[in-house]
Amino acid sequence: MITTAQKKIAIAGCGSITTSCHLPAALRSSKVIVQALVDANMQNALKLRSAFGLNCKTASRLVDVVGEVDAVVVATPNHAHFPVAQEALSHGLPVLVEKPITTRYADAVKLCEMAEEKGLVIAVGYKSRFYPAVILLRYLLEQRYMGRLKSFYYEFGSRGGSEPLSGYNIRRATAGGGALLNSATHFLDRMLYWFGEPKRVRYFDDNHGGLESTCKAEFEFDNDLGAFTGELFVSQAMKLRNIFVVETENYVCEIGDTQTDSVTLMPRSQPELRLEVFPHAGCIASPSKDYFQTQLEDFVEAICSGRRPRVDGRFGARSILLIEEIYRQRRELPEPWMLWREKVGTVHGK
Amino acid sequence: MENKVAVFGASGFLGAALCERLYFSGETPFVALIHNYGVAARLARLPIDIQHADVLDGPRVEEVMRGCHSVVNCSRGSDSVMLKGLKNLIDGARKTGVKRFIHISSTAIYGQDPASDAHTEQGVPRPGDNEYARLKLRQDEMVLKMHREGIASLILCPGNIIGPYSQFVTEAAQELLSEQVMLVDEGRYPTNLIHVDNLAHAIVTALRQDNGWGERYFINEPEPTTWREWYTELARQLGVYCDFHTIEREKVLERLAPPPKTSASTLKILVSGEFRKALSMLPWFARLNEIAYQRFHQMPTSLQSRIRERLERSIVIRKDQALNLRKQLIRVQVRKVFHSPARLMERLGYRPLLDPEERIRSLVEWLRFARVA
Repeated sequence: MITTAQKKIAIAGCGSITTSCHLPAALRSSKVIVQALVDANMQNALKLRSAFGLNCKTASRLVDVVGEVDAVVVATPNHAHFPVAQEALSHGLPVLVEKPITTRYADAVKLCEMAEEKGLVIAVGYKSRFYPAVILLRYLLEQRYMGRLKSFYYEFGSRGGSEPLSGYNIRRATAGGGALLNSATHFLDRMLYWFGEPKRVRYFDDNHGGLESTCKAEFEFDNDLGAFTGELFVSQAMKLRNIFVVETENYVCEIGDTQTDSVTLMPRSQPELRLEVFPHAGCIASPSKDYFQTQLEDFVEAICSGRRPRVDGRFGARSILLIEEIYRQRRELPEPWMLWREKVGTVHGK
Repeated sequence: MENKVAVFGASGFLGAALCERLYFSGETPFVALIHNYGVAARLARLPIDIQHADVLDGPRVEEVMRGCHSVVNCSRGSDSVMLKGLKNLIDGARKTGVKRFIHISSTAIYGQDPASDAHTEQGVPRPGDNEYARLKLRQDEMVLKMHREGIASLILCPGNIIGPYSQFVTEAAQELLSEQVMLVDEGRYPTNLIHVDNLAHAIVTALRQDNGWGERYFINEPEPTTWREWYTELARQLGVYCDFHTIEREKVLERLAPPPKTSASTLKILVSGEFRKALSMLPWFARLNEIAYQRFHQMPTSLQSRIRERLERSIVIRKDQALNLRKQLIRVQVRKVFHSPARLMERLGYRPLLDPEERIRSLVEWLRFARVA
């Protein structure tokens, strides 16, 4: 039975992220009905519908389901985020766009302006912003709980991740970028949320004319939180330690890769202690919680109540603006282990 | 293109290193063939032709091979990928007029504890119970048959491939840094290591040759370095001091031996409730099962108990041991035989590109980059 609070949604893009995350979250949620699956390749939509045993409509164009849905989840390859979201908004449909909101800042701004003119919700899929640990760290920083902020270090790497059906991730025209845009974007969103915009950036990556697989960025900040530095090291080609550490005057603070609900504090005065801090006394760890569902329900609540979603289009656009600035600072990340290149002689590259 | 190479398994550890070599050196045109876009980030940093081709998809394999002079098969995967996938590659090569085919095998085909004749390729492969080794040997037979049927083919048989991006090297360095290195019989056996850039060089060398096809070649570093020597040098270059732990080879072999398969264990499976429940979906079996159940309960209780006791498996809890045989780092050390690359050097003129010092330096530079060291 469909209740008035339930929203009928279309999911545009029936690839890997929809199969593993958006569709299961939507089916689990009592706040939405999956009304339509849309994919430019109709076979993908049909396969997905069949795999989950659904009776929903399938279509190869969004326009074919307009009038039957209340909102759209855009989970297409990156380059299609803009045209698909633009089309949905033009038909008066709120959108939840998978990260990154677009591959170009100018396009992100266009979407935001369009949504604002029409009074529609535009949310961006940065699910980690719903983690209690992420919200708690911001609170601790705002309260100056840990003393003066000195630096942070983020390292994340895995060899492979989801398996995009279209292969959009290996081409600049469809992906828009490599490890920075697709993998580090989650951290950059959190970084903006915690620390604000950096004052200065230095950036290095291993792109040889394709897409970077490994990148390093160094940041300098000078704002209400003080003057401090940060470093990011992210790879899609190798497994790294997957750590995030904040150094402050009184504590070393860590949030582990799978630590969604708490932060770990190590007091400098008592280095033998590791304190696990939760947002409130009753909070218990819930590692199996589906944050895609939380994100989707936040989007629906924003539509129903008129409030802003947790990550709105304007905030999502800030990440893209920062990423464009970072790419402008690009320098080559040295790969000193390629000793064979000196011996064979190389036609491409230095 | 006249000398275009199709690299299958291009997103893997060896495939990616080979594609880097071919791209940066510009030696020959090539196409990188992958089956999973999710693991292609290392390749995608190069502006090269990357195409999707599942080796289990025969028509697609044929399509991507068209116009290629040579094929290098670095693909790995399930049993079907190894056998049906290779068959598709061979069929595709035949249909599209591929002239040369290089297949990557493994010294595993000689078994975990090879006889001394496995020092050279003249030794008889004895894969033993290892399913992977048996499949690799079957692959070799398919490739050699292809050669006899007219497509120049050869097999490169590496030991343990290491290099930048290698999980093996990462783990070895981590063990060194945490002073947990375990050496089998004090690390006195040969490593049979091959640096991935030297292996890529061997492939490029082979592709250029007109002679020497139709053979299997070992490809390892020519100097038979022991595990102790290798770890010691890696530790020195990393600037760490490490006390090694040691374990007897016999103990490792004992732990590696598969549990004996007895007729009693098969019977236990056959009479298990789960197995019978599944088969009971067949009406005739359900009836048979019912009859067997009734007969069993007609037996004297003492006999029923004896049968049950016989079939019950006792619960065995082993003592905690420092030895973790899941680690490839230990398993690889039991091999006493050095698989010499002499024939490859003699017949195909292969010479390692990186010398011993450069090989270690390359690893250390990468470990620093990857922030392991």
